[in-house]
Amino acid sequence: MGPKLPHAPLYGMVGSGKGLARLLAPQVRIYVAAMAFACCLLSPSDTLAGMALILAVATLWTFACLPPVGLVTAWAVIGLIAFGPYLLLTPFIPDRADRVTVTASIILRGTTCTIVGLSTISCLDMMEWLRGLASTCLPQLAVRIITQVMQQSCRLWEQTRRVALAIVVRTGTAGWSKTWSLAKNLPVAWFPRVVWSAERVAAVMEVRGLCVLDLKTLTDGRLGLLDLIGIAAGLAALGTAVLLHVIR
Amino acid sequence: MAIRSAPSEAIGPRDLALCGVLGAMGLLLPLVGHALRSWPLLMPMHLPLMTLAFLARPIPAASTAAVVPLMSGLLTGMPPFYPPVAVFMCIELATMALLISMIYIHLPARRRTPIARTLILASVMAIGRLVYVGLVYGFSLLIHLPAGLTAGLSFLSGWPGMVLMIVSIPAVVGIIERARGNWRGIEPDDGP
Repeated sequence: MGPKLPHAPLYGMVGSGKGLARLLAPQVRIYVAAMAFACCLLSPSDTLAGMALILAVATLWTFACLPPVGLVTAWAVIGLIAFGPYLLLTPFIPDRADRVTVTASIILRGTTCTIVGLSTISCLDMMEWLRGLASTCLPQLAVRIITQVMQQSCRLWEQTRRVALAIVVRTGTAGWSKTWSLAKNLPVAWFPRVVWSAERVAAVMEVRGLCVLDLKTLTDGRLGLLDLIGIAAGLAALGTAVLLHVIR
Repeated sequence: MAIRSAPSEAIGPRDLALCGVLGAMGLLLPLVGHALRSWPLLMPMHLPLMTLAFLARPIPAASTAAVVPLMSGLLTGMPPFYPPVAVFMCIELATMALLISMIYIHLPARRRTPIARTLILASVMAIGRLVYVGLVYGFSLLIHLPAGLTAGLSFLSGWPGMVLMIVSIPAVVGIIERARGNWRGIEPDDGP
């Protein structure tokens, strides 16, 4: 059987959302997403109200961002497959009546966090990520690294696929021997080449003066009415989650 | 829009480029691994990030190592944020990258041998694993999972990846350091 590698451009998901959230300023989208994320983590999943809040926040944020339906379905299935095995730990949880609730809560939180993450990625394109992150309180070093990693990932994705495919085809292996052949060849055949390309990128950045650009010049601190409504909605959801957590 | 200079140049172009390219590899290698029917046991995210620690300065290397698992969790759902494996990996990788880079940067050039690199990597990996297993144990206690079992599984599952790192990273860093001087003006072929 031939090697199976995903051909769909993974990073097509960046900025693919077409929802109302795109009307918000980039930094507001990041803040609201962070609040939705925190809400999914904080809300108690062993009460009906907490569970409803988690589901409502994840669903509303997904509709606000409106990523492609296929991606949401795929991510929901991946989430369930990834977190489903936690159910196997249920018999090992000592002396608790609500054993299943503990593992079910992991599956619920894990899957909703994954969906919220996907929706956030889809509602900002690459330039909006840079502008949005630069407007947050993150240090410039972190913003530069995040945006550089995102940009280089897009470039490397195709190259990675090509090199892995070539190694698998040339060695003619399958199953575990395919994994072993990749593990053996990929680092030595490819690492130096990638680092050499980093040297080239560094030379270009030095010439263009990209490292001395003050990222604050890219930011726009003005917020409109919609931005304020978005922040208020995020704060309300987060406040409710904290309240439910406290009164549980 | 006026272009101003940053107040202080926190990161040089070479470090930023290395962080970008190797960070991107840290993001992509796990995906390729999953697509080729899974090699999570080989810890593919660790490979480029630990290589970066030998090549870049401590703060950029540690920052990249901290950022990549979080980005991967956000972008692909793996490692997950709940249970907070992404956060555990962020702490583990940042600690390891910081330690490796700080030790290696202070090593005189003549002592940067494959054996020295292997010793640094092995000892720092042991510390990293302890940090990770400790975090898993603590969190499992917090959410009432069987702490001994989950921590034990985390400890055992990392060994194939650690062996791969010890075998490959010192050699790769050696190749890169030797080749770096020759790269100016000599272009390696562009692909397979």
